[in-house]
Amino acid sequence: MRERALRFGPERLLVGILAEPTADEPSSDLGVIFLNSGLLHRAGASRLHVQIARRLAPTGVPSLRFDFTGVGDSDTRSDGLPFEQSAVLETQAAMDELTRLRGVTRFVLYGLCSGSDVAYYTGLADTRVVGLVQLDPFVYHTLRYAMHRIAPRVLNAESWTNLLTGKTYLAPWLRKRLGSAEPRDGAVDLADENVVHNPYARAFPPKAEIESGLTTLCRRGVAQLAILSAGQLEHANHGGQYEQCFAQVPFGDLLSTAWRGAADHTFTPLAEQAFVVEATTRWIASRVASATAAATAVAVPAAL
Amino acid sequence: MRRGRHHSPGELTMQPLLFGNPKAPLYGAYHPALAKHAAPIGVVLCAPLGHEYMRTHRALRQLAAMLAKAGHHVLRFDYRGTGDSAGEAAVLRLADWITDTADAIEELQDMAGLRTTALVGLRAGALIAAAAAAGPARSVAQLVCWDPVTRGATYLDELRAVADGPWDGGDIIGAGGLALSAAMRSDLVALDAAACVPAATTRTLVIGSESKAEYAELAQAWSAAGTTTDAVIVPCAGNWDDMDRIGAQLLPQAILRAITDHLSDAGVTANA
Repeated sequence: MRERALRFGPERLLVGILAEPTADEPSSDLGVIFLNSGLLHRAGASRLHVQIARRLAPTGVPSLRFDFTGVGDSDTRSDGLPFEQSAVLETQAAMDELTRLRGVTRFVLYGLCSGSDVAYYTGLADTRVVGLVQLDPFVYHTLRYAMHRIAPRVLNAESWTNLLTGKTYLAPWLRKRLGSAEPRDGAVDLADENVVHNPYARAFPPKAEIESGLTTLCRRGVAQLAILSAGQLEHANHGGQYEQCFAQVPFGDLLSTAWRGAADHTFTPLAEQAFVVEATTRWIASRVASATAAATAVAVPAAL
Repeated sequence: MRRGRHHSPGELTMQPLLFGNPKAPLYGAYHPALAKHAAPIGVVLCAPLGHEYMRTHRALRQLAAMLAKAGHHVLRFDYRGTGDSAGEAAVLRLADWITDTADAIEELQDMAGLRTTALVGLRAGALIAAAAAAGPARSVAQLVCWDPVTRGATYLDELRAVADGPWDGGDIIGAGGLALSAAMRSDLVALDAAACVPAATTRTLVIGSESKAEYAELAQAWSAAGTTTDAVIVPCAGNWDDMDRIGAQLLPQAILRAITDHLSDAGVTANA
């Protein structure tokens, strides 16, 4: 395995690291592109991109981890294109570069949070994409989600105390109804010049839109590994929710999921990092194996 | 790569590279000077560790760009086992990161064709920079410690608060995403910036975004040991720990300007 630091893409604005097998290691026509999560640079949250890339390369799977324009080490675009469009174009530029450097023809896109969103939209736009690894992807509430959220509160005396003292998520609604002012929490307002914000404000599209998109991907045979953390409890709070909320999508055996109740949104604990690295590398290995054997069905890795 | 060349504004302003041992290279981001400076220096930036490394990336990149625009050659780099550099933090010792810092200085001097170099360290990076300036990089001309970790033991207490599990729960403990071995923890406990006295010829600055007694104490300790050191506070709201982990990053412009001015001999305007 070896790595190279690159500039590539239109006007060579993009900066990335290629991880590739050496001549004495296997070689595959499948490559992986790692996508930024918000403003975190290409090493990935908890250095996950680096860890996974270095596990994959000796097995023959090259990868490119890169920064979108305006993020990490990449320069900024001058055309003012919205992030939602530029991110897809730049992901495709990374795919082109990996094809040029390694002859890769099939791609797995890996992303967490906003990176997951870009993976999904690029997958829809580009038929070279055969797999998505999505951490904390678009997911929607179910009846069971509501039960998981409400039941512990109903049974917890502290929740009732919080409700009565205004320390609850219902407090703003109650204050509005009662006409009282917002509380002061002592938070410091940072001057705008001292903070740089993510240009992408993540908003979940209507569920029907994502259902339709996932159905399109399934019909193309695009496989998906979805790992959900407890770091976004406002969206997901139990295992099986992803499958349930997208019950209408004909995933068949194209979908593998995992719920990590001890993980935060950036998978900070070492045990959670190890899980993501192991699950992802095994799942991608299964994509390589399935293509090699021309298999139509893909086994779900035992680790999940 | 051409050495010592001044780039014009509008050219790509940063060159990514891997340097050092080819079997275990370090990642570097070289920002060549964008303008001529009467007395250009090379500036090596030492990043913090763990979650703070992720949250300070934008600020250090911005500082590098400002220094390059002011006429200095700058190298940002990742220590072994961090970012895009080779290795795993769990098997490293603090001495490895101090050596990496000295190697980064040598790489920058080689690329830029300069012999005069400054070190700027942020948080734990300041502690590492100080140790380098007192050790293998003793010839460094300037040292800037920005919001420095002044005592390894205190820093470990901070890490303990964000640890994955019990602090005494084994050889490798996760804290802020970083794998800390028992050996690394003992290295950190033993490291006190006040004991890392830079050479008397090193122009040294401790700069903080808020007033802390430990900053003034560090400057006094170094001055008493023979290295004249200034302590400056440039108030900037916010700290490296409380930012949204993905959606925003801190970019304290006033401190970035103050460090750029200091290294460009324009002086620092706000004194503690």
